[in-house]
Amino acid sequence: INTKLTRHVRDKVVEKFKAGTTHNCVCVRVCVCVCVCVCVCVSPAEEDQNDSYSRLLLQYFLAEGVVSGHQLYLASARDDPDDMIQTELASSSRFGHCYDLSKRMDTQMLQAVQRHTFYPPQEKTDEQTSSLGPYAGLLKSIQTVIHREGFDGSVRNVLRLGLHSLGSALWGDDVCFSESPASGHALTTFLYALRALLRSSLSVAMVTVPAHLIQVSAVLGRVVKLSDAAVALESFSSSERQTNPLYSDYHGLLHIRQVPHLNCLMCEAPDNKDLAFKLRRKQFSIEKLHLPPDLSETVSRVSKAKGESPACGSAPTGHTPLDF
Amino acid sequence: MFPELNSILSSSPENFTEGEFILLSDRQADASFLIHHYLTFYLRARCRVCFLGLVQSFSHYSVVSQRLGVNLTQAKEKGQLVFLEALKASPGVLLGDESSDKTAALDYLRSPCPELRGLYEFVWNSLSRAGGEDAAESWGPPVLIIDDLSVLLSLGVSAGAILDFTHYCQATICSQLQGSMIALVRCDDEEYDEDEESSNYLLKALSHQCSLSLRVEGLSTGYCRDIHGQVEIWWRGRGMKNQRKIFQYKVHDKGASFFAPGTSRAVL
Repeated sequence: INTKLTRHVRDKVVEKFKAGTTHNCVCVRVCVCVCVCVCVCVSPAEEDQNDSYSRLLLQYFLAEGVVSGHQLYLASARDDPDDMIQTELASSSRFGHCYDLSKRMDTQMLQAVQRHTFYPPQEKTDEQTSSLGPYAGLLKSIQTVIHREGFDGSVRNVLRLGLHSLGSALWGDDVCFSESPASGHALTTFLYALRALLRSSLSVAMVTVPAHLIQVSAVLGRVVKLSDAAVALESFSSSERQTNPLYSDYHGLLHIRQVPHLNCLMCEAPDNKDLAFKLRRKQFSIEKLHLPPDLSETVSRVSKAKGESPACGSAPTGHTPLDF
Repeated sequence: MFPELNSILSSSPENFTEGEFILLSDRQADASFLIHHYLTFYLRARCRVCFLGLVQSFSHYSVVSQRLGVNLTQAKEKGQLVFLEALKASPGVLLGDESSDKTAALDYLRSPCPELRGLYEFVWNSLSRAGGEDAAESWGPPVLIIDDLSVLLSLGVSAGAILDFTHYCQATICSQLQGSMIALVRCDDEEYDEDEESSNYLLKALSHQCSLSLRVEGLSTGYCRDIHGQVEIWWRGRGMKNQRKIFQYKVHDKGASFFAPGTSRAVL
Protein backbone atom coordinates (compact mmCIF):
# COMPACT_ATOMS: atom_id res chain seq x y z
CA ILE A 1 0.00 0.00 0.00
CA ASN A 2 1.66 3.17 -1.07
CA THR A 3 0.13 5.68 1.24
CA LYS A 4 2.36 6.89 3.99
CA LEU A 5 -0.33 6.19 6.54
CA THR A 6 -0.61 2.61 5.64
CA ARG A 7 3.12 2.27 5.46
CA HIS A 8 3.35 3.99 8.77
CA VAL A 9 0.54 2.05 10.33
CA ARG A 10 1.86 -1.07 8.75
CA ASP A 11 5.27 -0.43 10.18
CA LYS A 12 3.94 0.23 13.59
CA VAL A 13 0.96 -2.03 13.80
CA VAL A 14 2.00 -4.99 11.79
CA GLU A 15 5.73 -4.86 12.29
CA LYS A 16 5.54 -8.45 13.36
CA PHE A 17 4.16 -9.23 9.90
CA LYS A 18 6.75 -9.83 7.29
CA ALA A 19 4.26 -9.48 4.43
CA GLY A 20 6.58 -7.29 2.36
CA THR A 21 6.39 -8.08 -1.30
CA THR A 22 5.82 -11.80 -0.98
CA HIS A 23 2.27 -12.66 -0.15
CA ASN A 24 2.82 -15.91 1.59
CA CYS A 25 5.55 -14.79 3.93
CA VAL A 26 3.64 -14.22 7.13
CA CYS A 27 5.88 -14.25 10.14
CA VAL A 28 4.78 -16.59 12.90
CA ARG A 29 4.93 -13.76 15.36
CA VAL A 30 1.79 -12.41 13.74
CA CYS A 31 -0.02 -13.86 16.73
CA VAL A 32 0.68 -10.54 18.33
CA CYS A 33 -2.55 -9.09 17.22
CA VAL A 34 -3.74 -5.62 17.22
CA CYS A 35 -6.71 -3.43 16.80
CA VAL A 36 -6.39 -0.32 14.74
CA CYS A 37 -9.00 2.28 15.38
CA VAL A 38 -9.63 5.01 12.88
CA CYS A 39 -11.64 7.84 14.35
CA VAL A 40 -13.09 10.33 12.02
CA CYS A 41 -13.76 13.85 13.21
CA VAL A 42 -15.26 16.20 10.75
CA SER A 43 -16.57 19.63 10.45
CA PRO A 44 -20.34 19.33 10.09
CA ALA A 45 -20.49 20.44 6.47
CA GLU A 46 -18.35 17.55 5.38
CA GLU A 47 -20.05 14.63 7.09
CA ASP A 48 -20.73 12.36 4.17
CA GLN A 49 -17.40 13.03 2.67
CA ASN A 50 -15.66 11.98 5.80
CA ASP A 51 -17.29 8.72 6.23
CA SER A 52 -15.94 8.13 2.76
CA TYR A 53 -12.37 8.87 3.91
CA SER A 54 -12.49 6.35 6.70
CA ARG A 55 -14.31 3.90 4.47
CA LEU A 56 -11.47 4.34 1.97
CA LEU A 57 -8.87 3.44 4.57
CA LEU A 58 -10.91 0.37 5.40
CA GLN A 59 -10.89 -0.58 1.73
CA TYR A 60 -7.10 -0.22 1.54
CA PHE A 61 -6.85 -2.44 4.61
CA LEU A 62 -9.08 -5.10 3.09
CA ALA A 63 -7.49 -4.87 -0.35
CA GLU A 64 -4.14 -5.62 1.22
CA GLY A 65 -5.78 -8.64 2.82
CA VAL A 66 -7.01 -9.90 -0.55
CA VAL A 67 -3.60 -9.48 -2.13
CA SER A 68 -1.90 -11.21 0.81
CA GLY A 69 -4.25 -14.16 0.77
CA HIS A 70 -5.78 -13.43 4.17
CA GLN A 71 -9.36 -14.16 5.08
CA LEU A 72 -11.67 -11.20 5.43
CA TYR A 73 -14.41 -10.38 7.88
CA LEU A 74 -16.42 -7.26 7.17
CA ALA A 75 -19.19 -5.85 9.31
CA SER A 76 -21.19 -2.80 8.37
CA ALA A 77 -24.57 -1.53 9.43
CA ARG A 78 -24.93 0.99 6.66
CA ASP A 79 -23.71 -0.62 3.46
CA ASP A 80 -24.07 -4.25 2.57
CA PRO A 81 -20.64 -5.75 3.27
CA ASP A 82 -20.84 -7.93 0.17
CA ASP A 83 -21.23 -4.82 -1.95
CA MET A 84 -18.30 -3.21 -0.17
CA ILE A 85 -16.07 -6.14 -0.98
CA GLN A 86 -17.16 -6.15 -4.61
CA THR A 87 -15.98 -2.57 -4.96
CA GLU A 88 -12.51 -3.28 -3.64
CA LEU A 89 -9.56 -1.35 -4.98
CA ALA A 90 -7.46 -2.78 -7.75
CA SER A 91 -3.74 -3.21 -7.54
CA SER A 92 -1.84 -0.73 -9.64
CA SER A 93 1.41 -2.60 -9.68
CA ARG A 94 2.39 -6.11 -10.69
CA PHE A 95 3.62 -6.94 -7.23
CA GLY A 96 0.57 -5.77 -5.37
CA HIS A 97 0.55 -3.52 -2.31
CA CYS A 98 -0.12 -0.41 -4.40
CA TYR A 99 -3.71 0.45 -5.13
CA ASP A 100 -5.47 2.55 -7.72
CA LEU A 101 -8.58 4.31 -6.52
CA SER A 102 -9.99 4.66 -9.99
CA LYS A 103 -10.08 0.94 -10.66
CA ARG A 104 -11.92 -1.99 -9.17
CA MET A 105 -10.41 -5.31 -8.26
CA ASP A 106 -10.68 -8.16 -10.68
CA THR A 107 -13.73 -10.31 -9.85
CA GLN A 108 -11.71 -13.48 -10.22
CA MET A 109 -9.37 -12.34 -7.50
CA LEU A 110 -12.30 -11.40 -5.29
CA GLN A 111 -13.98 -14.74 -5.76
CA ALA A 112 -10.90 -16.49 -4.49
CA VAL A 113 -11.13 -14.64 -1.21
CA GLN A 114 -12.64 -16.36 1.77
CA ARG A 115 -14.84 -13.84 3.39
CA HIS A 116 -17.31 -13.52 6.24
CA THR A 117 -19.77 -10.71 6.57
CA PHE A 118 -22.03 -9.29 9.22
CA TYR A 119 -24.89 -7.02 8.18
CA PRO A 120 -27.32 -6.29 11.05
CA PRO A 121 -30.47 -6.08 8.88
CA GLN A 122 -29.82 -9.68 7.88
CA GLU A 123 -28.93 -11.02 11.33
CA LYS A 124 -31.47 -12.14 13.84
CA THR A 125 -31.25 -10.07 16.97
CA ASP A 126 -31.24 -11.76 20.34
CA GLU A 127 -32.31 -10.25 23.62
CA GLN A 128 -29.75 -7.69 24.69
CA THR A 129 -28.99 -8.77 28.19
CA SER A 130 -25.32 -8.07 28.67
CA SER A 131 -23.35 -4.88 28.84
CA LEU A 132 -22.43 -5.43 25.19
CA GLY A 133 -25.82 -4.01 24.25
CA PRO A 134 -26.33 -3.96 20.48
CA TYR A 135 -22.86 -5.40 19.81
CA ALA A 136 -23.46 -8.79 21.42
CA GLY A 137 -24.39 -10.38 18.08
CA LEU A 138 -21.30 -8.97 16.40
CA LEU A 139 -18.96 -10.23 19.10
CA LYS A 140 -20.55 -13.65 19.05
CA SER A 141 -20.20 -13.78 15.27
CA ILE A 142 -16.51 -12.84 15.40
CA GLN A 143 -15.81 -15.35 18.16
CA THR A 144 -17.57 -18.07 16.14
CA VAL A 145 -15.64 -17.34 12.93
CA ILE A 146 -12.30 -17.25 14.73
CA HIS A 147 -12.97 -20.57 16.39
CA ARG A 148 -14.60 -22.32 13.43
CA GLU A 149 -11.88 -21.33 10.94
CA GLY A 150 -9.15 -22.20 13.40
CA PHE A 151 -7.50 -18.80 13.78
CA ASP A 152 -7.11 -19.48 17.49
CA GLY A 153 -5.28 -22.72 16.99
CA SER A 154 -4.20 -24.60 13.93
CA VAL A 155 -4.49 -22.24 11.00
CA ARG A 156 -1.42 -20.30 9.87
CA ASN A 157 -3.24 -17.51 8.09
CA VAL A 158 -4.52 -14.14 9.16
CA LEU A 159 -8.09 -12.98 9.60
CA ARG A 160 -8.56 -9.32 8.74
CA LEU A 161 -11.58 -7.76 10.36
CA GLY A 162 -13.06 -4.52 9.09
CA LEU A 163 -15.73 -3.05 11.35
CA HIS A 164 -17.38 -0.06 9.79
CA SER A 165 -18.77 2.94 11.64
CA LEU A 166 -19.17 1.41 15.09
CA GLY A 167 -21.07 3.66 17.44
CA SER A 168 -23.38 4.99 14.77
CA ALA A 169 -27.11 4.81 15.29
CA LEU A 170 -27.44 2.18 12.57
CA TRP A 171 -25.84 -0.31 14.94
CA GLY A 172 -28.58 0.35 17.45
CA ASP A 173 -26.19 2.31 19.63
CA ASP A 174 -27.31 5.65 20.99
CA VAL A 175 -23.86 6.92 21.97
CA CYS A 176 -23.98 9.12 18.87
CA PHE A 177 -27.16 10.94 19.64
CA SER A 178 -27.60 10.93 23.38
CA GLU A 179 -25.65 12.63 26.14
CA SER A 180 -26.53 9.88 28.58
CA PRO A 181 -26.86 6.83 26.41
CA ALA A 182 -28.82 3.85 27.61
CA SER A 183 -26.17 1.49 26.28
CA GLY A 184 -23.52 3.81 27.66
CA HIS A 185 -20.72 1.32 27.79
CA ALA A 186 -21.68 -0.97 24.97
CA LEU A 187 -19.13 0.34 22.48
CA THR A 188 -16.23 0.40 24.94
CA THR A 189 -17.11 -3.02 26.36
CA PHE A 190 -17.24 -4.40 22.83
CA LEU A 191 -13.81 -2.96 21.96
CA TYR A 192 -12.41 -4.43 25.17
CA ALA A 193 -13.75 -7.88 24.34
CA LEU A 194 -12.56 -7.52 20.73
CA ARG A 195 -9.04 -6.89 21.98
CA ALA A 196 -9.26 -10.10 24.01
CA LEU A 197 -10.31 -12.09 20.94
CA LEU A 198 -7.54 -10.56 18.82
CA ARG A 199 -4.92 -11.35 21.44
CA SER A 200 -5.86 -15.02 21.36
CA SER A 201 -5.91 -15.45 17.60
CA LEU A 202 -4.10 -14.69 14.37
CA SER A 203 -6.24 -11.71 13.52
CA VAL A 204 -6.11 -7.97 13.14
CA ALA A 205 -8.99 -5.54 13.15
CA MET A 206 -9.57 -2.09 11.79
CA VAL A 207 -12.50 -0.22 13.28
CA THR A 208 -13.90 3.07 12.07
CA VAL A 209 -15.83 5.31 14.42
CA PRO A 210 -17.73 8.49 13.49
CA ALA A 211 -16.10 10.54 16.22
CA HIS A 212 -17.86 13.76 15.28
CA LEU A 213 -21.17 12.23 16.25
CA ILE A 214 -20.26 11.00 19.69
CA GLN A 215 -21.97 13.18 22.27
CA VAL A 216 -20.25 11.98 25.42
CA SER A 217 -16.76 13.49 25.40
CA ALA A 218 -15.15 10.82 27.56
CA VAL A 219 -16.08 7.99 25.20
CA LEU A 220 -13.68 8.94 22.44
CA GLY A 221 -10.69 8.98 24.80
CA ARG A 222 -11.69 5.56 26.05
CA VAL A 223 -12.07 4.23 22.51
CA VAL A 224 -8.53 5.39 21.70
CA LYS A 225 -7.09 3.77 24.82
CA LEU A 226 -8.87 0.52 24.05
CA SER A 227 -7.21 0.40 20.64
CA ASP A 228 -3.62 -0.49 20.00
CA ALA A 229 -3.21 2.10 17.28
CA ALA A 230 -5.50 5.03 16.68
CA VAL A 231 -5.64 7.60 13.96
CA ALA A 232 -7.99 10.55 13.65
CA LEU A 233 -8.94 12.17 10.38
CA GLU A 234 -9.97 15.78 10.60
CA SER A 235 -11.15 17.26 7.38
CA PHE A 236 -11.06 20.96 6.60
CA SER A 237 -14.14 22.90 5.87
CA SER A 238 -13.89 24.92 2.68
CA SER A 239 -13.46 28.15 4.66
CA GLU A 240 -10.50 26.75 6.62
CA ARG A 241 -8.79 25.78 3.42
CA GLN A 242 -9.17 29.29 2.08
CA THR A 243 -7.95 31.14 5.15
CA ASN A 244 -4.91 29.04 5.97
CA PRO A 245 -2.38 28.78 3.12
CA LEU A 246 -0.72 25.81 4.78
CA TYR A 247 -3.89 23.80 4.37
CA SER A 248 -4.76 24.73 0.82
CA ASP A 249 -3.01 21.72 -0.69
CA TYR A 250 -4.77 19.22 1.53
CA HIS A 251 -8.18 17.92 2.42
CA GLY A 252 -7.55 17.44 6.10
CA LEU A 253 -5.24 16.55 8.93
CA LEU A 254 -4.31 13.11 10.09
CA HIS A 255 -3.53 12.82 13.79
CA ILE A 256 -1.78 9.83 15.25
CA ARG A 257 -3.47 9.37 18.58
CA GLN A 258 -1.85 6.16 19.63
CA VAL A 259 1.08 4.05 18.52
CA PRO A 260 1.07 0.44 19.64
CA HIS A 261 3.74 -1.04 21.87
CA LEU A 262 2.76 -4.63 22.27
CA ASN A 263 5.34 -6.95 23.77
CA CYS A 264 7.80 -4.13 24.17
CA LEU A 265 8.36 -1.14 26.39
CA MET A 266 8.40 1.27 23.52
CA CYS A 267 8.23 0.84 19.79
CA GLU A 268 9.98 2.98 17.26
CA ALA A 269 8.44 6.40 17.74
CA PRO A 270 7.51 8.41 14.65
CA ASP A 271 9.58 11.56 14.31
CA ASN A 272 6.56 13.64 13.50
CA LYS A 273 2.92 13.20 14.28
CA ASP A 274 1.59 16.11 12.23
CA LEU A 275 0.38 14.70 8.98
CA ALA A 276 -2.08 15.93 6.38
CA PHE A 277 -4.00 13.97 3.77
CA LYS A 278 -5.23 14.64 0.29
CA LEU A 279 -7.58 12.57 -1.80
CA ARG A 280 -6.18 12.47 -5.28
CA ARG A 281 -7.77 10.78 -8.26
CA LYS A 282 -5.80 7.59 -7.96
CA GLN A 283 -4.56 7.53 -4.40
CA PHE A 284 -5.15 8.72 -0.90
CA SER A 285 -1.92 10.41 0.00
CA ILE A 286 -0.56 11.43 3.36
CA GLU A 287 2.30 13.82 3.86
CA LYS A 288 4.19 15.49 6.63
CA LEU A 289 2.86 18.93 7.34
CA HIS A 290 6.16 20.29 8.59
CA LEU A 291 9.56 19.20 9.75
CA PRO A 292 9.97 17.81 13.25
CA PRO A 293 11.89 19.74 15.94
CA ASP A 294 15.55 19.60 15.07
CA LEU A 295 16.50 17.74 18.20
CA SER A 296 17.37 14.29 17.04
CA GLU A 297 20.51 12.92 18.64
CA THR A 298 21.56 11.76 15.22
CA VAL A 299 21.53 15.21 13.64
CA SER A 300 25.07 16.22 12.93
CA ARG A 301 25.94 19.50 14.61
CA VAL A 302 28.94 19.82 12.32
CA SER A 303 26.74 20.46 9.30
CA LYS A 304 25.98 23.96 10.63
CA ALA A 305 29.46 25.00 9.56
CA LYS A 306 28.97 24.00 5.94
CA GLY A 307 28.01 26.58 3.37
CA GLU A 308 24.34 26.61 2.51
CA SER A 309 22.45 27.72 -0.55
CA PRO A 310 20.34 30.88 -0.16
CA ALA A 311 17.32 30.29 2.04
CA CYS A 312 14.64 31.49 -0.34
CA GLY A 313 13.98 31.31 -3.98
CA SER A 314 16.20 28.41 -4.94
CA ALA A 315 15.49 24.74 -5.08
CA PRO A 316 17.29 22.78 -2.38
CA THR A 317 20.50 21.32 -3.73
CA GLY A 318 22.32 20.12 -0.65
CA HIS A 319 21.45 17.07 1.39
CA THR A 320 22.22 18.22 4.90
CA PRO A 321 19.19 18.22 7.19
CA LEU A 322 19.51 21.93 7.83
CA ASP A 323 19.15 23.03 4.23
CA PHE A 324 15.90 24.75 3.41
CA MET B 1 13.14 -2.14 36.85
CA PHE B 2 14.78 1.13 36.00
CA PRO B 3 17.90 1.92 38.01
CA GLU B 4 17.59 5.67 37.43
CA LEU B 5 14.08 5.68 38.82
CA ASN B 6 15.24 3.68 41.82
CA SER B 7 17.84 6.28 42.67
CA ILE B 8 15.32 9.12 42.26
CA LEU B 9 12.93 7.33 44.60
CA SER B 10 15.75 6.23 46.91
CA SER B 11 14.62 2.66 46.85
CA SER B 12 16.05 -0.66 45.78
CA PRO B 13 14.90 -4.27 45.89
CA GLU B 14 16.97 -4.70 49.04
CA ASN B 15 15.67 -1.59 50.73
CA PHE B 16 12.21 -0.17 50.08
CA THR B 17 9.38 1.40 52.05
CA GLU B 18 6.67 -0.98 53.13
CA GLY B 19 2.96 -0.27 53.31
CA GLU B 20 2.98 2.09 50.32
CA PHE B 21 0.08 2.93 48.05
CA ILE B 22 1.70 4.10 44.83
CA LEU B 23 -0.58 5.80 42.33
CA LEU B 24 0.51 5.95 38.70
CA SER B 25 -1.41 8.15 36.30
CA ASP B 26 -1.10 9.54 32.82
CA ARG B 27 -2.58 12.22 30.63
CA GLN B 28 -1.69 12.55 26.93
CA ALA B 29 0.98 9.90 27.52
CA ASP B 30 1.30 6.26 28.49
CA ALA B 31 2.49 5.39 31.96
CA SER B 32 2.42 1.64 31.43
CA PHE B 33 6.25 1.56 31.32
CA LEU B 34 6.09 2.27 35.07
CA ILE B 35 3.94 -0.81 35.58
CA HIS B 36 6.73 -2.91 34.08
CA HIS B 37 9.19 -1.17 36.39
CA TYR B 38 7.24 -1.99 39.53
CA LEU B 39 6.42 -5.54 38.48
CA THR B 40 10.06 -6.41 37.94
CA PHE B 41 11.14 -4.39 40.99
CA TYR B 42 8.97 -6.25 43.47
CA LEU B 43 9.66 -9.64 41.94
CA ARG B 44 13.38 -8.91 42.28
CA ALA B 45 12.70 -7.90 45.87
CA ARG B 46 11.28 -11.40 46.46
CA CYS B 47 7.84 -10.13 47.32
CA ARG B 48 4.68 -12.08 46.65
CA VAL B 49 2.91 -10.24 43.82
CA CYS B 50 -0.73 -10.34 42.75
CA PHE B 51 -1.12 -8.77 39.30
CA LEU B 52 -4.52 -7.87 37.89
CA GLY B 53 -4.01 -8.01 34.12
CA LEU B 54 -7.08 -6.10 33.01
CA VAL B 55 -5.77 -4.61 29.75
CA GLN B 56 -3.02 -6.82 28.37
CA SER B 57 -2.29 -10.51 28.24
CA PHE B 58 0.27 -12.31 30.37
CA SER B 59 2.58 -12.84 27.38
CA HIS B 60 2.93 -9.09 26.86
CA TYR B 61 4.26 -8.54 30.39
CA SER B 62 6.31 -11.70 30.15
CA VAL B 63 8.16 -10.59 27.01
CA VAL B 64 8.88 -7.14 28.42
CA SER B 65 9.97 -8.51 31.80
CA GLN B 66 12.32 -10.89 30.04
CA ARG B 67 14.06 -7.86 28.54
CA LEU B 68 14.29 -6.36 32.00
CA GLY B 69 15.80 -9.55 33.35
CA VAL B 70 12.90 -11.18 35.18
CA ASN B 71 11.20 -14.45 34.20
CA LEU B 72 7.47 -14.18 34.86
CA THR B 73 6.65 -17.76 33.95
CA GLN B 74 9.11 -19.03 36.50
CA ALA B 75 7.76 -16.64 39.13
CA LYS B 76 4.27 -17.92 38.44
CA GLU B 77 5.34 -21.54 38.73
CA LYS B 78 7.13 -20.94 42.00
CA GLY B 79 4.00 -19.33 43.39
CA GLN B 80 5.61 -15.91 43.75
CA LEU B 81 3.36 -14.32 41.12
CA VAL B 82 -0.41 -14.68 40.89
CA PHE B 83 -1.62 -13.29 37.54
CA LEU B 84 -5.27 -12.71 36.76
CA GLU B 85 -5.77 -13.04 32.98
CA ALA B 86 -8.89 -10.93 33.09
CA LEU B 87 -8.64 -9.61 29.52
CA LYS B 88 -8.55 -12.97 27.80
CA ALA B 89 -11.35 -14.40 29.90
CA SER B 90 -13.71 -11.53 29.21
CA PRO B 91 -15.40 -12.48 25.89
CA GLY B 92 -16.49 -15.81 27.33
CA VAL B 93 -17.94 -14.18 30.40
CA LEU B 94 -19.67 -11.39 28.46
CA LEU B 95 -21.28 -13.83 26.02
CA GLY B 96 -22.24 -16.23 28.79
CA ASP B 97 -20.37 -19.17 27.32
CA GLU B 98 -20.71 -22.45 29.18
CA SER B 99 -16.98 -22.98 29.14
CA SER B 100 -16.19 -19.55 30.46
CA ASP B 101 -14.55 -18.64 33.74
CA LYS B 102 -17.11 -18.90 36.53
CA THR B 103 -15.07 -17.30 39.28
CA ALA B 104 -16.44 -14.32 41.14
CA ALA B 105 -13.31 -12.33 40.30
CA LEU B 106 -14.86 -11.37 36.97
CA ASP B 107 -18.24 -10.39 38.42
CA TYR B 108 -17.75 -6.83 37.20
CA LEU B 109 -18.46 -8.16 33.70
CA ARG B 110 -21.45 -10.16 34.76
CA SER B 111 -24.14 -8.67 36.84
CA PRO B 112 -26.51 -5.92 35.75
CA CYS B 113 -24.85 -3.84 38.45
CA PRO B 114 -21.12 -4.51 38.02
CA GLU B 115 -19.21 -4.63 41.26
CA LEU B 116 -15.81 -5.56 42.51
CA ARG B 117 -16.37 -7.60 45.64
CA GLY B 118 -15.39 -10.80 43.86
CA LEU B 119 -12.22 -9.17 42.61
CA TYR B 120 -11.31 -8.05 46.12
CA GLU B 121 -11.79 -11.57 47.42
CA PHE B 122 -9.52 -12.88 44.70
CA VAL B 123 -6.84 -10.41 45.78
CA TRP B 124 -7.30 -11.32 49.44
CA ASN B 125 -7.03 -15.03 48.75
CA SER B 126 -3.91 -14.53 46.66
CA LEU B 127 -2.02 -12.42 49.13
CA SER B 128 -3.20 -13.24 52.60
CA ARG B 129 -1.41 -16.55 52.86
CA ALA B 130 2.11 -15.50 53.69
CA GLY B 131 4.80 -17.78 52.38
CA GLY B 132 2.62 -20.05 50.28
CA GLU B 133 1.73 -23.64 50.98
CA ASP B 134 5.20 -24.98 51.54
CA ALA B 135 7.31 -23.09 54.02
CA ALA B 136 10.43 -23.69 51.93
CA GLU B 137 9.84 -20.48 50.03
CA SER B 138 9.01 -17.56 52.25
CA TRP B 139 8.34 -14.42 50.34
CA GLY B 140 8.56 -10.79 51.38
CA PRO B 141 5.62 -8.42 51.92
CA PRO B 142 2.63 -8.87 49.60
CA VAL B 143 2.23 -6.52 46.64
CA LEU B 144 -0.86 -5.79 44.52
CA ILE B 145 -0.42 -4.28 41.05
CA ILE B 146 -3.44 -3.17 39.02
CA ASP B 147 -3.16 -2.41 35.29
CA ASP B 148 -5.33 -0.47 35.04
CA LEU B 149 -8.23 0.93 37.06
CA SER B 150 -9.72 3.28 34.48
CA VAL B 151 -10.64 0.47 32.10
CA LEU B 152 -13.23 -0.59 34.70
CA LEU B 153 -15.02 2.69 34.03
CA SER B 154 -15.19 1.73 30.33
CA LEU B 155 -16.80 -1.54 31.37
CA GLY B 156 -19.58 0.13 33.29
CA VAL B 157 -18.25 -0.08 36.85
CA SER B 158 -19.02 3.06 38.84
CA ALA B 159 -16.25 5.23 40.22
CA GLY B 160 -17.72 4.71 43.68
CA ALA B 161 -17.35 0.96 43.40
CA ILE B 162 -13.74 1.34 42.27
CA LEU B 163 -12.97 3.62 45.20
CA ASP B 164 -14.54 1.15 47.60
CA PHE B 165 -12.39 -1.58 46.11
CA THR B 166 -9.14 0.38 46.42
CA HIS B 167 -10.07 1.40 49.95
CA TYR B 168 -10.57 -2.23 50.99
CA CYS B 169 -7.35 -3.25 49.27
CA GLN B 170 -5.38 -0.49 50.93
CA ALA B 171 -6.77 -1.31 54.34
CA THR B 172 -5.92 -4.99 53.98
CA ILE B 173 -2.71 -5.00 52.01
CA CYS B 174 -1.01 -1.80 53.10
CA SER B 175 -2.16 -1.38 56.68
CA GLN B 176 -2.89 -4.91 57.81
CA LEU B 177 -0.34 -6.94 55.86
CA GLN B 178 2.27 -4.16 55.58
CA GLY B 179 2.46 -4.76 51.87
CA SER B 180 2.26 -2.32 48.97
CA MET B 181 -0.24 -1.50 46.30
CA ILE B 182 0.37 0.02 42.87
CA ALA B 183 -2.47 1.18 40.63
CA LEU B 184 -2.57 2.92 37.26
CA VAL B 185 -5.28 5.41 36.28
CA ARG B 186 -5.37 6.78 32.74
CA CYS B 187 -6.96 10.18 32.13
CA ASP B 188 -7.96 12.49 29.36
CA ASP B 189 -8.22 16.21 28.99
CA GLU B 190 -11.63 15.90 27.40
CA GLU B 191 -13.28 14.61 30.52
CA TYR B 192 -14.95 17.06 32.83
CA ASP B 193 -13.91 16.98 36.46
CA GLU B 194 -17.47 17.41 37.63
CA ASP B 195 -18.47 14.20 35.95
CA GLU B 196 -18.44 11.62 38.72
CA GLU B 197 -17.84 8.79 36.34
CA SER B 198 -14.69 10.23 34.84
CA SER B 199 -11.11 9.12 35.31
CA ASN B 200 -10.26 12.62 36.51
CA TYR B 201 -12.63 12.21 39.41
CA LEU B 202 -11.16 8.82 40.22
CA LEU B 203 -7.66 10.26 40.04
CA LYS B 204 -8.48 13.11 42.41
CA ALA B 205 -9.98 10.79 44.98
CA LEU B 206 -7.12 8.29 44.78
CA SER B 207 -4.51 11.06 45.02
CA HIS B 208 -5.74 11.69 48.52
CA GLN B 209 -5.43 8.04 49.48
CA CYS B 210 -1.99 7.37 48.08
CA SER B 211 1.42 7.78 49.71
CA LEU B 212 3.38 8.30 46.47
CA SER B 213 2.09 9.61 43.19
CA LEU B 214 3.79 9.50 39.79
CA ARG B 215 2.00 11.57 37.16
CA VAL B 216 3.09 11.09 33.59
CA GLU B 217 2.22 13.73 31.04
CA GLY B 218 3.10 14.61 27.51
CA LEU B 219 5.17 17.74 26.99
CA SER B 220 3.14 20.95 26.94
CA THR B 221 5.02 22.02 23.81
CA GLY B 222 3.81 19.01 21.88
CA TYR B 223 5.12 15.72 20.68
CA CYS B 224 8.85 15.15 20.59
CA ARG B 225 10.56 11.96 19.62
CA ASP B 226 13.52 12.32 21.96
CA ILE B 227 11.69 13.37 25.09
CA HIS B 228 8.59 11.32 25.62
CA GLY B 229 7.16 13.39 28.40
CA GLN B 230 7.53 14.36 32.01
CA VAL B 231 6.91 12.62 35.31
CA GLU B 232 5.83 14.53 38.39
CA ILE B 233 6.77 12.63 41.52
CA TRP B 234 4.88 13.59 44.64
CA TRP B 235 5.96 12.18 47.97
CA ARG B 236 2.82 12.65 50.02
CA GLY B 237 4.30 12.63 53.47
CA ARG B 238 3.78 15.06 56.30
CA GLY B 239 5.60 18.36 56.71
CA MET B 240 9.10 18.23 55.27
CA LYS B 241 8.46 14.82 53.74
CA ASN B 242 5.85 16.26 51.40
CA GLN B 243 7.66 17.20 48.24
CA ARG B 244 7.21 17.24 44.49
CA LYS B 245 9.79 16.93 41.76
CA ILE B 246 9.52 16.90 37.99
CA PHE B 247 11.66 14.85 35.62
CA GLN B 248 11.56 14.37 31.90
CA TYR B 249 11.90 10.86 30.56
CA LYS B 250 12.54 8.77 27.53
CA VAL B 251 11.60 5.10 27.25
CA HIS B 252 14.01 2.71 25.51
CA ASP B 253 13.79 -0.85 24.47
CA LYS B 254 15.20 -2.10 27.77
CA GLY B 255 14.50 0.65 30.22
CA ALA B 256 13.84 4.31 30.71
CA SER B 257 16.03 7.26 31.43
CA PHE B 258 15.02 10.15 33.62
CA PHE B 259 16.61 13.58 33.63
CA ALA B 260 16.02 17.06 34.94
CA PRO B 261 13.91 19.17 32.55
CA GLY B 262 15.98 20.60 29.74
CA THR B 263 18.89 18.23 30.18
CA SER B 264 17.99 15.62 27.59
CA ARG B 265 21.01 14.47 25.60
CA ALA B 266 19.20 15.50 22.45
CA VAL B 267 19.07 19.09 23.58
CA LEU B 268 22.44 19.61 25.23
